[in-house]
Amino acid sequence: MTGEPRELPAEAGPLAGLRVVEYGDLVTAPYASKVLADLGATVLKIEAPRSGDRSRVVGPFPGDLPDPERSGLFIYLNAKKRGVTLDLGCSTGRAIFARLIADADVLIENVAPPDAARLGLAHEQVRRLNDHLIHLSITPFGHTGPYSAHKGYGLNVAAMSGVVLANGAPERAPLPLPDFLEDFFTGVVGALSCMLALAGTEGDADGAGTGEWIDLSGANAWMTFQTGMNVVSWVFNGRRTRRQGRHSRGGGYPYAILPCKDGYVRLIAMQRIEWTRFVQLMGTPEWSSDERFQDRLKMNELYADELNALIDPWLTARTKAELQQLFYTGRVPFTAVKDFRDVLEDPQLRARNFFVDARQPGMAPMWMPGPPYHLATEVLGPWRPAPTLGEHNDEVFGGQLTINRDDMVALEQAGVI
Amino acid sequence: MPRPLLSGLRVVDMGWVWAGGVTGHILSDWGADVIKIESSKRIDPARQGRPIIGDTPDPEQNPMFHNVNRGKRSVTIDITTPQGGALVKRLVAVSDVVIENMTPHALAAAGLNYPALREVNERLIMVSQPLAGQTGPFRELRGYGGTVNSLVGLEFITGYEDSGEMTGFTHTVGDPNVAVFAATAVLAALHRRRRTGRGEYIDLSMWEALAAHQGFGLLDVQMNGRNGYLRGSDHPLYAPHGIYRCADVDGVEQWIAIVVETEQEWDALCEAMGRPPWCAAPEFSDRYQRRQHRAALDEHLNAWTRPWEKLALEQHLQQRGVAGTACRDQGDRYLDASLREWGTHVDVAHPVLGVEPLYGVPVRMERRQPVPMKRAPTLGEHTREVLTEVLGLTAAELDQLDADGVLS
Repeated sequence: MTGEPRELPAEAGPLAGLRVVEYGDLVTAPYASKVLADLGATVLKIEAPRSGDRSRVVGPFPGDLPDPERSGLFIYLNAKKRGVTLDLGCSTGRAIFARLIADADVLIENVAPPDAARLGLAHEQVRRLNDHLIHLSITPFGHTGPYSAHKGYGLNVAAMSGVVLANGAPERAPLPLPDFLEDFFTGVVGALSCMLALAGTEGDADGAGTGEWIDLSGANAWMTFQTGMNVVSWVFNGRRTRRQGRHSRGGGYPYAILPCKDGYVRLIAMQRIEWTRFVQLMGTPEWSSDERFQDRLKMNELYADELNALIDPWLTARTKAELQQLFYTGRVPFTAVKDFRDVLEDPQLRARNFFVDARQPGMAPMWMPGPPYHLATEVLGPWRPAPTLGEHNDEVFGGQLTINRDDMVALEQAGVI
Repeated sequence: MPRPLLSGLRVVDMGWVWAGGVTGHILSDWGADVIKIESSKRIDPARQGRPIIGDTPDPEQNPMFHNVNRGKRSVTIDITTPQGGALVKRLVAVSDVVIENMTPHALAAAGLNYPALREVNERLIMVSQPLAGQTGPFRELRGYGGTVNSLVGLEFITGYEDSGEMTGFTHTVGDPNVAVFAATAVLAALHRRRRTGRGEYIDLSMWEALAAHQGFGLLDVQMNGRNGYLRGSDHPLYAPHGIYRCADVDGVEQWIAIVVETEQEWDALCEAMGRPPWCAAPEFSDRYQRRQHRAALDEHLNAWTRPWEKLALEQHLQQRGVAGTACRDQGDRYLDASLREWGTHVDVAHPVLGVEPLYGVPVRMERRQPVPMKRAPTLGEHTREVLTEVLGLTAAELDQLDADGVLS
């Protein structure tokens, strides 16, 4: 790969100095704290001894060889954080945890409600340790509310929100959202929740100075922000979300994915002018004046296959990159269907230095998505490796908490750290 | 009524359509005074579209607009006129935050981009969140939320494994996603400003905000050369992991999602199914086996779920510790009284549509509450109120501006 990924300076960002402790697993809580870390917060990640965060077993792994220190998802989500291991299931572990959060600003965790009290993470327990703390709990269905007793994963959240009903082909079963997408979005809402609570604890509104507990559920994040506005269309028109597949019916032509020379392109035109501009890009072929092809609703309903076949030679003579440029200069809102290599090599993302050069010790250099924020007054902090399991135990337990060496060895042997 | 946590914060909101609206409503939900600048000469597309009642186009009937602009005040100003631009600058001078998501040339042409606005307010925090960002060869790119799914690889991996059919990823995750990122950054910048007095400009793009969720696929291609593949229902951790058919209701197909991670959950699922003999087959003996034989597994499960009523099956599974969740469409969600009680949606009165359900505030705090839900404004509803109250304009000045066509 060519091009220069961005070089980032040390400790910067609007949240510099904010101390976050995370007891997170898989995506939601680790991503919430990653978003805060990208904005400058200092994040200490606590993992269970031995097993650690489950994203360590997800991969992808170089050469598909599973290794808890080489999981791509773990490294992406936990870069920049310091990591310690601590068993919150025993009282010694919880006593150490109490010292860790005594001077923290934010605690982010995503333990299931039935496990919270056992791990000392139920909010009434946490509040006794630090009443100024912002405590964010992320669960699929909430600690409170009608479905709090339900078990769930990302797909369960997507099912309750109805979003999966829009995904897939009409004649087949709906499809899950790919690659933990539900959990990524829920994680960003988690970061937002912390920032809202921070405004409450810092501002001059009532209750400034006192902490907060946020009970965030993925289901509610998705049922509001993502699919919440659909409810009105059912109330007034009885309209229910249905999956459309690659050729959506009911709207104007085109709404389709069609092949080009080296892949596919996505065609969506909401306005007539957008279709007209595309026809002009093709050199206004004779068929475009056919009287059957003037009403875009009819075109989509009756002649979509015929039109697709007419467009096909023009598209398949051109590459994704050529078409992307033509669409852009022609002000047509179509796009190439990009694969991941296309995304890595995308001229727009490259020009904006979106990717960061990630150097995880012992691994080949990788490009990772950088923070999506570009700030005017400063450049966000550098990429730093994700912690190996328990990497900062000495620094944090020995240095920060001044636990002496003998005690550390004893804690290690007892499996506490 | 305690002071809400963003009380005293004034926001000039030039965001529009879906993404641009959400950022501002997140702030208005928690008590900020969000002033939406709009114009009848260039109506927010979220106000357009098929009317709910009757068939005459009406800017007051679009549910998207009502959802994402609740609690805001609407001020109509034609920002393309010099007087209109000057009015917006005067508002910005006494505000804390500016939100916008136009393609980059638009605000620059109106003389209202960040460098111009910073001149009147050094402490300003401004976020721009259009599709492609402020720089780069495709910065003026237009598109719909769905096209962003294509740009980041989501469409390329969405489809059925067996047939190889790419189905398209049509839900526009990217709009609310970039808005939540934007509000997070604005609040982070406010945190710093409280300490340092420093303003900030945040250049954000819907494209990058969604690309940030693709760490898995972007690393897989670099590590293993796998350039994306159709995911189907496959999951690296769970098997079964899929959506299964239940009994139809009034001829409409119904579905349930079932996910199993641990062996304990698998055992509970087998128990819930009454331990049919196929459960004990070696190809389903552990998670790795089940994942490998997922096509056969899904076939068995589909046969079992087919006669069940979906909510009864959900209860049957959840009672046994299995993560089963019925797929709920908007009708199911609206009619579920427990969701209403949870605040997932809130009935709000609107002058044109009557009572309509708006989605609620998902962030539940123990000590602090969002403000009571208020409806979205009608076009220009607060023009005179805001310009009088915030800028101290007199009735005569307002009449003159109106006569000059600035307030339209």
